[in-house]
Amino acid sequence: MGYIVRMKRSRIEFVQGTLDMLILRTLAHGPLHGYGIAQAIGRTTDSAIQVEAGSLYPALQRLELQGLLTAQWEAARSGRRTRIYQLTPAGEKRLQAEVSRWEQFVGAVALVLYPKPVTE
Amino acid sequence: MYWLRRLLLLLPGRRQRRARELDEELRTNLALAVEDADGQPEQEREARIAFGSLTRAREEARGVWLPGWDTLRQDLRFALRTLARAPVFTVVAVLSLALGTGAATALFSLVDTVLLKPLAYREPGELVLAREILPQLAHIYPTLPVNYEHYRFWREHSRAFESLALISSRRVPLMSGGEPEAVGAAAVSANLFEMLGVEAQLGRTFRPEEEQPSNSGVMVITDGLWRRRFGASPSIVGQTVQLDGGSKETIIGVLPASFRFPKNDDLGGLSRLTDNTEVFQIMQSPNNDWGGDYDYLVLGRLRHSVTRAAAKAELNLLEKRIATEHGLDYPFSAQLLPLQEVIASPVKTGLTVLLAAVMLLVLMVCVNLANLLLARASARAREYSLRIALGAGQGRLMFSALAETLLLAGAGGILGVIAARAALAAFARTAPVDLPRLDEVQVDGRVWAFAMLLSLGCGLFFGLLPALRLSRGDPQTALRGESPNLAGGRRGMHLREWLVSAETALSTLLLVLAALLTASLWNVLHVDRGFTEDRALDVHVELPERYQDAAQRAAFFDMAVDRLRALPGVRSAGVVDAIPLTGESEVNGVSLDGSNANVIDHDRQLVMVNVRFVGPDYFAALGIPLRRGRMIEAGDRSRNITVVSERLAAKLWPGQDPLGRWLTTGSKVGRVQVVGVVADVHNVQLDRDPTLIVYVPIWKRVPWGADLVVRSSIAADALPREVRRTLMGIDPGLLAPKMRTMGQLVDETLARRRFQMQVAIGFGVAALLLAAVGIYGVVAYGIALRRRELGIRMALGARTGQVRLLVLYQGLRPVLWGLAAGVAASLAAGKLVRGLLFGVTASDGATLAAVAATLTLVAALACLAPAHAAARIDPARVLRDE
Repeated sequence: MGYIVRMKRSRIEFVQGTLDMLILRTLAHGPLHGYGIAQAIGRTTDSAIQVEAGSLYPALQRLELQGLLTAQWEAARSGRRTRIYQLTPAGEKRLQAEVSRWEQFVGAVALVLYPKPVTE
Repeated sequence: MYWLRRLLLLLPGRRQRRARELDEELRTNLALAVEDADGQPEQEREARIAFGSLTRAREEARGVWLPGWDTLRQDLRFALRTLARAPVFTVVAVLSLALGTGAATALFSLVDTVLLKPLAYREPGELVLAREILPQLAHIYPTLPVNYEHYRFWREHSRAFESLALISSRRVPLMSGGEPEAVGAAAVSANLFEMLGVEAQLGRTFRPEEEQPSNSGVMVITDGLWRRRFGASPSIVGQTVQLDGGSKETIIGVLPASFRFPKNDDLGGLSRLTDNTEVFQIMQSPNNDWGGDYDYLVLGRLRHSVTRAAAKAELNLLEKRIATEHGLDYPFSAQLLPLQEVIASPVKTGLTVLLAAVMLLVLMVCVNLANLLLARASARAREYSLRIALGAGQGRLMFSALAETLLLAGAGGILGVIAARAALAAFARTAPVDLPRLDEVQVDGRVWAFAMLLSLGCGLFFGLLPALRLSRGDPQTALRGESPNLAGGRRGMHLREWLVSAETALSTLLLVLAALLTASLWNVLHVDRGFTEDRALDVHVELPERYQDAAQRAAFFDMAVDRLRALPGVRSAGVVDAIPLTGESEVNGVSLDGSNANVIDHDRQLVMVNVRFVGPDYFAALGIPLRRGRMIEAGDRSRNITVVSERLAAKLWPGQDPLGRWLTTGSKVGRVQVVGVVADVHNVQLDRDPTLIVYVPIWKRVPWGADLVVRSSIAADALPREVRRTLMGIDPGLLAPKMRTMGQLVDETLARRRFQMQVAIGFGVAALLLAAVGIYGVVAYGIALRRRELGIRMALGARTGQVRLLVLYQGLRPVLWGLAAGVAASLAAGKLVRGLLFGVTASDGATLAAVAATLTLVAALACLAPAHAAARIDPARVLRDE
């Protein structure tokens, strides 16, 4: 089972781990709260990918249990307190591994979709 | 780390805190998202949609912690609530499961302990029991124990056996270690324990040289006696105990607690073993003759290479040599039986019958459960369709449906084990059947595992189909208000009607058995006993060995009878060497004047009589009516006279006057003249033919042990105490007399029959209840299916009475089929139980009619509630739902 995210009014299913990678990448810029992560992903993809709470928070819980993130209660806007997530060293390592795997995967898919012309 | 963090969340406090944090986080983050909408309703709505469902986020995020945990708890809690809302269904399902698992579990532990390991002897497969066959006696005793000299001859000349051991049982008065008490004792050959492979836990068992008379005077005792009378003293070995007035014996060993010794008739008819043998001594040669006294039990261990048939052939060659060498002119032969089978076989039949009955019950429980669950599923199909429509997943719904079944099965299993424990305890306490090691039966972990597996297995197996059907329901059907058909329509209904027929047939079988056994007991209770048991007390006295002189013993009994008769409230008192219903003894042939040969009856069988030595007034005390002539009187002290029983007189002198005739018989009676004829009494069991009895005056041969019969004119509770005081007054050194009323004696002989009847009734009633539940389930389900049809019928003018009748008719139809099949089956199976019946045949019309009537009535009652419900269907509502 993958994560369901919204993509310009159509639903797509992400391969397991892809959302995890997006979250880790987003947090690599600095600590953020959950809503902030969703917003950041939405903005960076020009609203192409919108992460629903039903996918985001379970992923955050799992990453935290895996020790890839830590969370602290901190003040956010208008005096509200919420949990701010931050990458751990283990999380940074995982992000690098995920990114290089993703690049290999995309490269391989690209080869299938746009094969190089066969030369004799 | 990942798993550790997760496992920590199993702690409820930690999980709750985390859940609160999650909720707060979700709320604040949603608030942040809404804030971004700047108070514009349209944008706020979009922000909320983009954020997604809070509930789902919460559930999914929690699902990460312990996958399935919350769902499981929710489903179980929901199942508990729905079960609590349907108490009748819940109670019926749990109780029937408990009944099935309870019965099966109790039997499992019984069979496990009793049947699979009845004898704790070394290599029990090689042990055999030897008996002898005398063709002239075969009509009363197919086989007999062994003659002592024959045993000696076998032991000396046989090559087929590793060893051959001998046992002769009696009761001896034990004077040491507390109040004098008669204990069961066995005189055995020195090789018995070595042959059985039993070693003493303290001291040793016998040595071969101890069979020499000069070396005897040693005994081995059981663990039970050692604890009961000698306080489990570790220094018991070497101590001397006094067995009776004179003889002293040295205890050389204590047997292990696990040692079991056969009792009563375990080793075939006429075994004469005591019910608890606690003392073992060396057998002394009884100066036997070669032709009579077939009184000794012989066990053998075959050599490894020798088969039972070969050993038997060798023994029979030896028997021929005995016959020629000692001039015995009648035929006799030897028989060898595997010891394990001999001991287990009477129990085995009973347990097999029980096993069959239990399996029938479990089958019925399963059928019922399947029916109940299907019926319930169809009643709840709408709820499930609604849940599907609301988006519940199939797996989740299936588990939710199964959770209920599993709860039922779990409760049923636990209750079942509790019931099994209670049943086993009651069984061990009251069962008059001698089950080896019954006292060791217990409910252990394996028994629990068996019960829970059985119950949960049943639940899972029969809950799966309805759960599957429910979870795959079509959301639209239910929402339209139709009752979805979960069970496959008319065909499914037919299948269930078949099941009801099968259930009815099974309970018919069990009920017929119960009814036949009840009728048999009733008949036995009303057999003419030949004596009157009301207010008659049997006092068994064993005189110590110092009463060596017959005149001493006669004086004791005379005085005892006189003094007892003088007690207030006592009408008469008499003495006899063996009271009725305690078995045959002093069995002899008879001959008449003019012939030395024993009398042979019309069937060319020897006429065998029991000789009874009685004092004056015995017949009056026991209430045995006089038919002709006179009774035995005080003046008969030195006369050679006899009183015979009615049947014997008719056999010996058919159509003639027996008075004044002479007969000759054994047991040192000799030639005696008949002076009277009395009514027949039963010496063995009320359900056997009365015994042929020759009564002679007790002074002819005064026994050591005898029964004093005391008849009082009023029911006197204090009588036993008075009797005991009177007897101790004559001789303070007497063993405590054993007392019981004749009523108790009759009860004891009927105990086995009564127990069989109770077990059969128990099973019959259980089967009846299960059948009623099954019928109710099917009929109720049928009405749920036909609600629409019935509603339309009523709308078209059918009256409620007609609807009731229709339901009743359709409910009873499979019952009547099953009843017919059950009656046919019980007629066919009648042969199997013929041996248990008395005065009634398996095809007894009244019994079958009574069973049929009971079953039909119960079935009709089971149909009544659904019929009533059907009659209350509101046609208007049915039509509106269309």
